[in-house]
Amino acid sequence: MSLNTNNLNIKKLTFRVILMIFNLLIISLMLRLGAYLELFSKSKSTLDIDRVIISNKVELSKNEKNTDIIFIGDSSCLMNINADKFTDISAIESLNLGTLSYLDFESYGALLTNAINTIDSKVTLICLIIHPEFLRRAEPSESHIEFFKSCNKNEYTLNFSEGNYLNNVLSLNIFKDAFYGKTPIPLEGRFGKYYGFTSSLNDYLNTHRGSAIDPREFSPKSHHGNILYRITDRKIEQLIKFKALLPSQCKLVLCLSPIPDILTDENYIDAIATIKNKIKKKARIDYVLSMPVSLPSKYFSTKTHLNSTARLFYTEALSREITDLNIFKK
Amino acid sequence: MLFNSTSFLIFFFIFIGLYFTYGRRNITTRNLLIVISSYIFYSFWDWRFTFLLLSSSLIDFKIGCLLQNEKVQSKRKNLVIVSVFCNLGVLFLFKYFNFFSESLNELLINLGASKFFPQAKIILPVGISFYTFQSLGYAIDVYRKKTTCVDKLVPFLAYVSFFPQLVAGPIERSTNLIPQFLSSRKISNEFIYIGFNLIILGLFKKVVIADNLAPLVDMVYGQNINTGPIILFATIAFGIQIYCDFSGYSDIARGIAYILGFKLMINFNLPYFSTTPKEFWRRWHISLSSWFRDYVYIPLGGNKTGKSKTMRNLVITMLLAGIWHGAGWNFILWGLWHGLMLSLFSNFEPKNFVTKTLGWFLTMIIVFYGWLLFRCNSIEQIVNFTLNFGANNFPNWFNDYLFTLLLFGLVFFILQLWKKITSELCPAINLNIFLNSLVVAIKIYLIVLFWDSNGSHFIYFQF
Repeated sequence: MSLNTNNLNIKKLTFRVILMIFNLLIISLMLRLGAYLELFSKSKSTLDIDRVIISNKVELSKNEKNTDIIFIGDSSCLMNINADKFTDISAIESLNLGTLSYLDFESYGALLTNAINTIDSKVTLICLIIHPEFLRRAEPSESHIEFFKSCNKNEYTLNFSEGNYLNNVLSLNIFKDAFYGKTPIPLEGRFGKYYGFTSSLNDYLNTHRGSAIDPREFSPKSHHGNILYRITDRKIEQLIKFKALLPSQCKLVLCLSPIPDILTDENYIDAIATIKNKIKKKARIDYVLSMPVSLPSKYFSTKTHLNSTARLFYTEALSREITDLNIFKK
Repeated sequence: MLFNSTSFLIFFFIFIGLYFTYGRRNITTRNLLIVISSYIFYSFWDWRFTFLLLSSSLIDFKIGCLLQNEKVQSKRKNLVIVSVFCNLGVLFLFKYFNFFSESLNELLINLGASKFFPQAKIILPVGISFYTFQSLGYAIDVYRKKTTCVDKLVPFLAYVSFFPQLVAGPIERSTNLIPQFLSSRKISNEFIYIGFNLIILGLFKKVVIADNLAPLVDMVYGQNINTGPIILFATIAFGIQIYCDFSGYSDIARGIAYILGFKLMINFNLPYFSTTPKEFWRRWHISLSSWFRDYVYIPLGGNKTGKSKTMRNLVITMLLAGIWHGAGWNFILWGLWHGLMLSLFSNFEPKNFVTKTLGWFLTMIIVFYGWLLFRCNSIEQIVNFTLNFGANNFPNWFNDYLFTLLLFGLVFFILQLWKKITSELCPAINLNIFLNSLVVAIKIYLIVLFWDSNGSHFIYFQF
C-alpha cells in the first residue's frame, strides 16, 4: 500500500477534536456569561464610514441642546453643508443631521424626533436637504436601516451576519461588538488619508456640528448613468409623514442638492422644477429653496457631493436664502 | 483558490476523503490523485494556464530523461541550457516582457524618438515564478548529478504541481520532494497533529495579524501620506504583514503536506531576530535564498574568488532575486539594496551582547528600509517617503494608528518570542493535550472572528 496509516489512532484523534470543540464552546460560554453580567460595556460601533455616520448622528440628535435650525437629509446634506460656517455667517445656531441616502424618511424622522425632544429652545426651522438621486431610489438599504434602528435603541449592535449558525454557537457577535466598539478602524482610500480612522471621523463630526467633507476628486469620465430624476408616490407619502412630525411652530424648508453640469441636459432644470412643484403641492412643504440645481464639475468631489471649497460657497448661498425667508426675524 | 477561503476548505475535505480511501491503493493512484487535484486547484485561477504548467513540467521531465542518458558533457550542457532558456523564457514572456518593453519605450521617448516596442496583452499566471524555478532546479540537479531523473511522468507532474506549495512555495528541491512521491508514506497521529497545528498557525498569522495590518499599510502607501512617523510605522506594519502573510502561507502549505504524509522544507526561521544581513537571508524565504545561493551565487564563484568578486557576486545574486519578485523598479532597487548591504557587512560577525544588539538594530534598519523600497508603488514615492522620513509632524489620528499597530504587533511579538524561547515548530505544540487544545481553540476562535469568506490574497501570489 502507498499510504501506511497503521499508526493512525482514530480514537486519539477524535478525542483531540472533541477537546478542541469543547474549548471553543467554553470560550463562547464565557463570553455569553460576560455579556449577561454586563462585563463588556456597551460601546459605539465604528466599523466603517457608514456606521460611524449613522451612530454619530443618532448621538448628536440625542445630545445637542442648543440649535435653532436643523439640517437633515442624505449624504449631500452631510457633505455639502458646513454647519460651522452657516452659524458664523447667519448667527443662527445650526446642527447638521445629514446621514446617508441608504436610509429613508422614516429614519430621518426618528432623528428629528430625537433632536426636537432634546433641544432646549424651540427649533424654528428644519431644512431638508436631499439629492435628486435619493428621491428616485426605490428602496433603502435594509442593513443600514437595521443598524440605524439598533443605534437609536441604544443597542449599537454591529449586525454581523445575523442568523449565521457559527456566529450564534461561538457568540462571535459579543466579541465583535466589544472589539470593534473599542478599536479604531482605518478608513479606506481618500477618506483614510483625510480622516485617518473611524474614531477620527467621529471626532470630526462632533467638532464640526455634524458636517463632514468628502475628500475624493470628481472624475466626469467615471460618472455616467441617466439623469431622469423623478419622485415616487411612496416617497411623497413618506415625506408627508415626515412633515407631520414637526412641531407646530417649526417650518420645513426643502433644498434639492446640485449635480455636476456636465451630467445635465437642456431638460434638467424643468425636470427638477416639476419635482419641486410636486413635492410642494402634495407634501405641503413651507418653503422650497431656489438654490442652483447644477454647478460646474470642478466644484464636485463625487456626483452627489461638493468639494471642500465649493461647500463653503454653497453654505453661504444657503445662508442667504434662509435669511431672506425672514423666519428668524419674526 | 485561496487557502483562507471557504471554497478551499470544501476542496480540501473532498480531496482528503479521496486521498485516504482511493489514495491508499498504490503509489500511482495516490500521485495521480495529487496531480488531478493540483491541476483542478490551479485551474480555479485560470484553467488556460494549466497548459503552461503542464508544458513546463513536460519539457523538464523530457530534459531530465535525456540528461540522464547523455554521456557527452557538451550535449548535457546544451540540454540544461534548453531547460534554462525554456523556463526563463516563459517567465520573461509572462512576467517581464511588458516591463522591459515599457521601460525601453520610455527611454526612447526621453531620447526624442517614438515608441517602438509593443505591449502584449497578457496576464501573469499565478505562481509562475515558483513552479518554473522548482522545475528548473530539477533539471540543473540532474545535470549536476545531484539527483537521478524521474522516469515516471506522474510523480514528476506531482512534484511540480503539488498544490500545497504550487502558487507560493516553498520552492522545493528535487532531492527532498521527489523521493517522497516515489516511496510509500507512513501517516501517523503525529503527522496529522503537527500538520493541523501548522495550518492553524498559518491561518492565524494570515487572517488575524497580516489582514488586520494590511489596512494600516494601505492607508499610508496607497494614499502617499507624507508624515515621517507614520511612514516609519507603516513600514514596520508592512514588515510584520509581509512576514505573517508569507510565512503563514508556508506554514499552511507545510501543514497540508504533513497531513498528506509529506515533509516540505522550512521557509522562515525567525528572520527578525537576525543580527546580520547575511543571517537574515539565511532565515527569510529560505527556499528562494538557498535556490539563488546554489544555482546563481556559487556558480558565479561565491566567496572563493576574492573580495571584490564576492561583492560583485552578492550584488548580482540579490539583483536577480529582486527581479524575481516582480517586474518593477522598486524590486530592482530592493534587490540592489540588499546586495550592497550584504557586500558591505559580509565580514560583520557579532560575538558579544553589545555587538549583537547593535547588529540586530542595524540589520532591522537595512531590512525595513528594504521593505519601504519593496512596498512603494513608484520611484517618486520612494524618493518622497525617503525624504520625508525625518519630517516630524503627527496627524491627529497618530494615536489610533499606533494603538492598532501595537495591538496586532504585540500578538506577532508574542508568537515570535514564544518560538524563540521554546524552539518549537509552532507555539504550544509541545504542551500537554489539554493546554494545546486550548491554545488551538483560541487561535481558531480568532481566525473565525476575522475570517473573510472570500479570502484575501496572499502578497506573494503576485510573484
